[in-house]
Amino acid sequence: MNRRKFIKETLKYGISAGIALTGIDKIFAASQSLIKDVETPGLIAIKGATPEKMFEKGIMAMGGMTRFIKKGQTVLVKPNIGWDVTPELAANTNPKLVGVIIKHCIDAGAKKVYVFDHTCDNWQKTYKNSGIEYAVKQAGGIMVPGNSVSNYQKVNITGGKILKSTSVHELLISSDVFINVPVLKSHGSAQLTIAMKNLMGVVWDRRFWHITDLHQCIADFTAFRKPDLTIVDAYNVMTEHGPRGTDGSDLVKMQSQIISTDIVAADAAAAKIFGVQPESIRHIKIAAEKGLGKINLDEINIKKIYL
Amino acid sequence: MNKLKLFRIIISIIIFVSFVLLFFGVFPSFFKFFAHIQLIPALINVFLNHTFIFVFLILLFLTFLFGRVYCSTICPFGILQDIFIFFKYKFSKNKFFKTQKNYKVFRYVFVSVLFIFFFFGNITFLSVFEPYSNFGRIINETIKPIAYFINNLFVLLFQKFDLYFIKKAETHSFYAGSFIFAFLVFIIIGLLSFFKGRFFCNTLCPAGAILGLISKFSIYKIKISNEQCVSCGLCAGVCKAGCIDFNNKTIDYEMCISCFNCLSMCKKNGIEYNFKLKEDETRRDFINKTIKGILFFVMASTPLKLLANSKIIKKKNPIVLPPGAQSLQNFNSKCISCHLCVAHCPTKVLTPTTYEYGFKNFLQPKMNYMQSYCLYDCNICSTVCPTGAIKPISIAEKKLTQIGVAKFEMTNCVVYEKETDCGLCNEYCPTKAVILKPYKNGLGIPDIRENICIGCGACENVCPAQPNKAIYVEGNLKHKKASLPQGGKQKRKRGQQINEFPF
Repeated sequence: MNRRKFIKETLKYGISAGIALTGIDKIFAASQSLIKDVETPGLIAIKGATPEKMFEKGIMAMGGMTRFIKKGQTVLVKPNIGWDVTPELAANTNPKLVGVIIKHCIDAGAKKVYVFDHTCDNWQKTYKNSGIEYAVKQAGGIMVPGNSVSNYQKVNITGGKILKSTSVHELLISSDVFINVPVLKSHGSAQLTIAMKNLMGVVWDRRFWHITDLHQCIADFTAFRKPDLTIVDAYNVMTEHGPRGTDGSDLVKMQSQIISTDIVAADAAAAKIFGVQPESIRHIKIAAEKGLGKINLDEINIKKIYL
Repeated sequence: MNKLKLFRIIISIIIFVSFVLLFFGVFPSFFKFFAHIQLIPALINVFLNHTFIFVFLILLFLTFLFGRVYCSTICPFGILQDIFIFFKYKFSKNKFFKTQKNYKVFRYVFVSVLFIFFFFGNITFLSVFEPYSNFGRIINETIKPIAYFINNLFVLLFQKFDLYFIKKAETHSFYAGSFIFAFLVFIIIGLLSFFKGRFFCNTLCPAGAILGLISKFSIYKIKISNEQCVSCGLCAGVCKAGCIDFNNKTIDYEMCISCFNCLSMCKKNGIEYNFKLKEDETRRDFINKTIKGILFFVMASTPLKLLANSKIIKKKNPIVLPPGAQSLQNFNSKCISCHLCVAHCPTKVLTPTTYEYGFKNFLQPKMNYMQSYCLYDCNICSTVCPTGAIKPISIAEKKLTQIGVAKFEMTNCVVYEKETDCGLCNEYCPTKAVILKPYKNGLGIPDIRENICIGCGACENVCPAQPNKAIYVEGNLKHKKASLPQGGKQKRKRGQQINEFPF
């Protein structure tokens, strides 16, 4: 059995098993939501309120969380929880934003909402100090450690130019819905870290990326599992000395947020907010060339909300 | 059971459990108290740090009042031996100990040698025979990995059910030298205490020797009364210190550790613990003795203090010391290798050494940047150290303490070698002492602003260059003060506030 046949066979059986399990009516409901997809915007840009409020408005314009989550599904929410610093320094995703997203997931009927990151600093201190562990527990999500190699599984990256296989966290494979919640920051080596760069937190061996070709690896990996929804936190933006930052003096309060189903478009829009042309960030450019999403924002249905 | 014995057992269980919890990283701010009331750490504080003199004096005074209760209730290594002895009482066929010989000459010569080395700046011999640090190493190096292994099995099991309430525990990696040493001590002390009781405490232990000298003169003592005693020998049989000679009805007070086992064994009230002068002794004799004793300590401590200030010969050392250690001299002369800092270090960057400091400073920990790096917002090691080898340091102070300086070797760097973006060192650097300066093809190559580098080792730890790192930290033998990081002082080039979305 070659790979193609294998995938075909699994898909066939998977779909029929899925139909048997979920029932025809749910499939019908799903197809309805697909029809709605055409009408709703592909990218929402919100400005001028707290991260929670911007999300509430934005997701409503997106058609609500029920558009992405069916009852009983499991959800993986992946914020940026890289550094052992407090929320005010904005090196990690805003914890209140993470909390409100989880609430929406649960209200939409999600069975379980998992949150984790393969942190850069010591994971326990980072989970705690970032305020995200607390926010997740308050909202009813499950905070999962990302520090143990035993939770990572080796996968092949189809179409990867340099990154052909890597180990990813099992939740990325097993969760039904994947929501990516990056924070917009400057970055020493990747220039900017937004949505695609945030996916580095679900893989085990990042060192390989750095010693080969960081931008190519970021773009390659994006193809593995594109998030169903990307929410970019651009409330407080670290303009220099990212991704860790120093004392918060580099922050600019931009009060913005991007919500999109297209991870590349989300990166492109966030880069523009930052004041950088998306084409100048190599990994965004490569990903667009690979057809993973739109870099040209004119090709996508955008809705702007000013609060 | 005799009330005194019961009291002794309850206190020692509390202390033992507290110590185990301490080394497992529970509530360090509270449990570290027990490490600070240990005799040898207190002695180091007095002679090398000139602090906490009262702790040392209280311990000596306690012994002067009640005998060596320190050895029977406060010393964790003593309690560990008592656990083995408990098993002997319970399960061994031969439950009784023999009366032991007091190897006076050997004991005091041996312990004097330890202290002479110590006061001339060599702490190794003291830390090898010192009870508290031996206990620490046994827990940290042998018991903890086993406990963590079991814990992690449960973590795996619970994860199957989406339960994440127990966390995967990470111990530091395996270090053969310190493991073998701790394991050997564990086995030897187990066998020794099972067969010979508190033999270690009365021959090799430096704390036992100091306290033995004092307990000779202590006010409360165990005494055999001539009238009631029938010389049955039961008291001598349960005496784990082997200090009772029931034929002559005498007790060697240098060896008695005040465990009160004899009191609860004697059925005839032939042995008692009280405040009584010897029959032929008047009150004046007693006061005279007390004053003599105090004067002896004063006399003894003066020359010792002079010795304590003697300097260690410094040599160039690539080793990086934790913030708070201040200097190689301070650290090497005070660290008794109890590995409490190793147990508490959240990133496990503090690791035990074997002989990296030279044989003079066996097993002392160091910052191991191959393993991990020092967290910017952390000062735990400095808060737990009981001897001031790592002196207490605030987080604000720590952030400006330069324990070493990063150096860059461009020919090893990924950016130079492969001409691709890397910048991991810059990414992890908490002060942005490592910046990326423009290099060819729009790439950035590391550059170090040494004045704001604090030597935390994040850059060295994450540097992916192989086989040799491109960026590494050279330790400061004497810690320096770093300049403030220059975050927002630079002129901002990009990321201006916008009113409308530019798309």
